[in-house]
Amino acid sequence: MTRWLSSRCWRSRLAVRPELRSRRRISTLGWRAIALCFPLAFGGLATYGMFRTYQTHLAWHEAQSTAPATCRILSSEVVAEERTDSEGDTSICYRPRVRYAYPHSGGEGEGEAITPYDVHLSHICEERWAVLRIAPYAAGTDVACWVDPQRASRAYLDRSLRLTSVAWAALLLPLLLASLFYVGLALRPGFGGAIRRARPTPRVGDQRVIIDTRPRAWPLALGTSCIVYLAATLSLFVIAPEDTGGSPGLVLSGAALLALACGAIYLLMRRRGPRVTLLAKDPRFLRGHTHVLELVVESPCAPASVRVGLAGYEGGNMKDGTSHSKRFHEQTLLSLGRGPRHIRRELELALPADTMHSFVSEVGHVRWSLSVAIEVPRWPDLQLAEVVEVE
Amino acid sequence: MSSPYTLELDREGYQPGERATVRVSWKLDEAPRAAALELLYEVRSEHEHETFAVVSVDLSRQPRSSEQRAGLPYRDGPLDRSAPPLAAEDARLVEIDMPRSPNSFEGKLLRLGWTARLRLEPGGEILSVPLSISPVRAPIGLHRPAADG
Repeated sequence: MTRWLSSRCWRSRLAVRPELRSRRRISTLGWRAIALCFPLAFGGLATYGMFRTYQTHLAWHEAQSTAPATCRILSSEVVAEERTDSEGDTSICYRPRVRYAYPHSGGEGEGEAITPYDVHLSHICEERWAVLRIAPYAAGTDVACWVDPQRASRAYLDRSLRLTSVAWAALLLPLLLASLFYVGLALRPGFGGAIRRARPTPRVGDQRVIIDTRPRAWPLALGTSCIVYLAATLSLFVIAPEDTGGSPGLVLSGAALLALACGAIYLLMRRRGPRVTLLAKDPRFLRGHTHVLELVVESPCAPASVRVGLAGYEGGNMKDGTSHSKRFHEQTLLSLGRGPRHIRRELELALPADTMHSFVSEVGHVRWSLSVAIEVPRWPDLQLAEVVEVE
Repeated sequence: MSSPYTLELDREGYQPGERATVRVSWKLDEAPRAAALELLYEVRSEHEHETFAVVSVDLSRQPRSSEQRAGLPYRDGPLDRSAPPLAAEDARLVEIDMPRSPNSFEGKLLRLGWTARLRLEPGGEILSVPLSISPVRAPIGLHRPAADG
């Protein structure tokens, strides 16, 4: 299966359309932040939902040790309780209360649990719902019930699992996986494809490294995943402190496991994505000169296309306080269709003599960037851009 | 009525690092306390602008141009290589190596222009003359069509 997954090269439906790329005005950091919004918004909900599903499963599992019996309903009523919330507001909460007697070990036990999942229903306060809950259990009648022969205190009037719990699990699981996916996507190198600020470039031998996706960044992935999921999970204690089941350790352990899963997904995405290195042989990029670049692409799957380009952008502050950017120069250095999995090419970068050099001020900027765009079949495309200094 | 101040460049556009010859003159009632020739550039966007003074030349240390005949190229005039004190009626010749960057350019969102400025004390800024510094000796048009293919 793994070999099939790695060898098949599907057409990517997740590929970003080229015409949209040129209209992007959001920075890489912005795109990453947007992607992380999804797990931040839904990751906690999904974690919480899965935690509740897990609790329901535990309750259902315990209830399987009960045996059928006949119980006599002693009383059946709706009890109005006054509740005070964290802000000091009081409200009336209607709770169903059914007391029943059941045979146990030659004697008689007394119970109030209607189902094993009552603890998860404590937030429902509607009177109509409470009336419906006690309706099948009229006082003085005998009803079928479930009693644990080993444990006298464990008895239920109904132990069947409600379909809504299963439905919630079915809904939340994809949400959880999507949250994990978005974390991995946000941490993917080159995500967003926008231009980053110029930074000191390392060297390999006598060559400058312009773009390099090879260094592993799994500590970053793991750290970010942990922060995202711990933040999302800890928020549950603020939003719904009464629903954490009294076991924060369990919730946090679950979050830690999810964070590990995030890191694993990130590594998986890196493993399948192409690794790109773009090197420059000359120490500086000068206008009017031709420079030699070296591109190395190692991809587990033959890329559908590879494009290396140079672009110049001008940016200025506008009246509305925003900063706009316009591309004034575009030059394709390499354009390949479907090619081999391993590519090593020397490229010529001829910089025009009559163009503007890199310039940055508080008012605006003129920036140059070298970009590598690789279309990966059936996988998010890789689009990397790095600001270079043109003199 | 002609202006009592002049600031003349030997050309309008320069290549980065190119040597420029500038002639400044004034005719006042009394000698200025200080006089300077400044080179500055202004970056302007739709909303903001910023000015940076890059070069400042103290004119009292520059040679006096004894040729003050109107209409004649000042390079042709004889030079007094000494640097006499500033006078009420004076003319100085300055040779400046133009800065290598930034270059003059014009974009849709941003433009950068250079200016030579005469500053006298008292009085402050007296006269400004625009100039260009770029490989093509004119503001680089960022969005102009490519000259070749």
